Amino acid sequence: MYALGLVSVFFFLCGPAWGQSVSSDELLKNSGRYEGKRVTYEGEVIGDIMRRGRYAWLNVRDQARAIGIWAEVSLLTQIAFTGHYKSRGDIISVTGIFHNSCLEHGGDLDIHAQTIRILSRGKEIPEVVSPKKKKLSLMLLGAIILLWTLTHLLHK
Amino acid sequence: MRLKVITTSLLGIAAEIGYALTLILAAFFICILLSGKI
Amino acid sequence: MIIRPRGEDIKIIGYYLGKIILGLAFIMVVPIGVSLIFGETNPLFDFLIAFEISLAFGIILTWICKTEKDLSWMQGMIVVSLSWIVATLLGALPFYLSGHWQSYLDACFDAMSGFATTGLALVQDLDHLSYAHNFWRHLIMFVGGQGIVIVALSFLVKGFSGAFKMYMGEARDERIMPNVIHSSRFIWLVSIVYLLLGTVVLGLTGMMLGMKPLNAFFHGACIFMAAFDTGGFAPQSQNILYYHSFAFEIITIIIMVLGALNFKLHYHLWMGNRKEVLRNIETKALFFSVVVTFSVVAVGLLQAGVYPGAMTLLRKGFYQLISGHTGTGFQTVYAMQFKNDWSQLSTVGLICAMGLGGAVCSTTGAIKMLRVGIVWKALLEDVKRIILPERAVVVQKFHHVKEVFLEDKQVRSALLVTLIYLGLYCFGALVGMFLGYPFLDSLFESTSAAANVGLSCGITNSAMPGVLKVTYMLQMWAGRLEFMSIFTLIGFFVALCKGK
Repeated sequence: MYALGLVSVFFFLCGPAWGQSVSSDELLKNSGRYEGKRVTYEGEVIGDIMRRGRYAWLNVRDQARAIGIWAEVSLLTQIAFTGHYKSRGDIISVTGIFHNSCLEHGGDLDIHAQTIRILSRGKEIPEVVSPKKKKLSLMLLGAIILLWTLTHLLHK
Repeated sequence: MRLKVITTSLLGIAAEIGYALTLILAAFFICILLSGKI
Repeated sequence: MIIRPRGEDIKIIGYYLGKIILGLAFIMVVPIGVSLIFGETNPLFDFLIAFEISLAFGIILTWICKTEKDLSWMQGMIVVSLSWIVATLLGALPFYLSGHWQSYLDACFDAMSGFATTGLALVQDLDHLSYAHNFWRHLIMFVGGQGIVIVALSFLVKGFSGAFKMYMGEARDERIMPNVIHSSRFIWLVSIVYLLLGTVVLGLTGMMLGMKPLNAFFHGACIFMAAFDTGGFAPQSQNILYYHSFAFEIITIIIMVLGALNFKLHYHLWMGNRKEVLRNIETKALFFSVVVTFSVVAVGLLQAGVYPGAMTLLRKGFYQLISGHTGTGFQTVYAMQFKNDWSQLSTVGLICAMGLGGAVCSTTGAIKMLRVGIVWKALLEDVKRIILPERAVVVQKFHHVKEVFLEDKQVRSALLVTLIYLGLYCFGALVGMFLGYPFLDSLFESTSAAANVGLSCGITNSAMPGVLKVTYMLQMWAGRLEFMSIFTLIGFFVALCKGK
């Protein structure tokens, strides 16, 4: 009971750093306000996780755009799926320090991650081949064979 | 003969890449001059 | 008296257009191969359908319009201008079928942007696009940069003089070698050699940066094609920012600059005349122009206080500048950051760089360095005439492979084309402002489209008005073809309606 009370106070004091995430739109529009501050950002991990020694780059995408996250490799062991054509990446919540123009990384806009939580697991997405497309391509193939035969016969 | 052609072309490629690198160096020099720090 | 074009003219135009469409269809076999390699079935059908439709059109046209005749100047120019429109319409088919473009117009926008090596994009959810569709986006930049017609010239066309007329119509007004078909093939040789070199270098770098080997080389090939053809598409939505790598930035800068050089210069350097890189009017003009525009941009950025320190100024300021000047359009900043972080001075510097461009007969767009150099020399000549005694004979020369005397005809041509480009930049800016966008943003985006650059400050997105999408598409088309073939097309239609 006592512990619960303490935790609630803790959450209350830390405010937007915990639980309330900001969108990439918000970060870009008000970059001055968030520069150097701890933010929470949520999105899908896309592309490759690029390991650079003890740290790695991952790019995390929300509705509008993807943002680069610089994180220690140890924080990333839980990530199983990244987004590609045939897969949806894990949706994660990153809490870390936001930089509109990071001096350590040549001016890149990035978040230096302190904690990463998996919100939902991604998955492989099997392709569902469109029957309409199959039909259309076969019909067109027929049309071309017809055309080609016609042009050759008339040529003779 | 063929080796000569290939070598000449490679030297040409080097000259072009050298031009590009010179541009980058000139830009870096401007950056240092204007910002005063690396 | 305007003479109406005859049926014969239309037949000849139709025949060569049909040949080019057949060429385009065969290029679509490449992404079909990519989809088979990566096991992507829906994309396979998308490209099969587009291939079949293109093949059908090509067969019908070459059959109905069959002729042994060669092209006149007018017909050659019209074939060129029409083939760009046709390539856009057909090249957009696989995009539209993928479901990643909100409308067929959006798909056509990206197709035109690709072929014209611009780089403005309306694609949705690029990070989940198939390998095959992504490869097509970059391949059309490679093809468009060389010249769609050049592709056909190299392989499909037998007659030489007709070939030459189409070559000139596609803004390749430099004779690299006496034979135009050999010139086209040399352009391909340079591109393929650099493609192999560039893909290997980028692929290995990508692997060292932590990418999976397959992705590293796939991205390497795509990034090379977009960089060398100064196009600017990238496989991921963050463009070059995705890689977070100084090494990648340096390598792409080198490739962009190589792509901005005159193919004639490549020829002379590769044949052993290496001093040409120091003497040539275009390399000198480009160097000077980059230094001046970057100085303006750098001062502006320091005023804004956004990139302190030489390294960030280089990696953000110079990268965007050289990307704009070479007409590539790679970005390592978000579109919104141009608006929020870049001061007006730095934006103006960037717009000027975009508007000036790279060398003629390269893969770049815009006014181009030979014209800038000629106008500068003409100015010098006029100043000399005023300063020197009246009886002094003033002769101005410039060095372009050989010493060339500056003639009034060249100056007039350079100034006219410069004026038309400036007019085109302003036209697009006006359309943007009519639709409610701010002045500097409109000018930025318009210049980016007309100069085939591709940097965006945020106006280009799928929600923008259809009128603006069409405007930018027309600007990309006009800018890429350098007007002559488009004026001929307009003249042709006027004659068709009003001629006797």
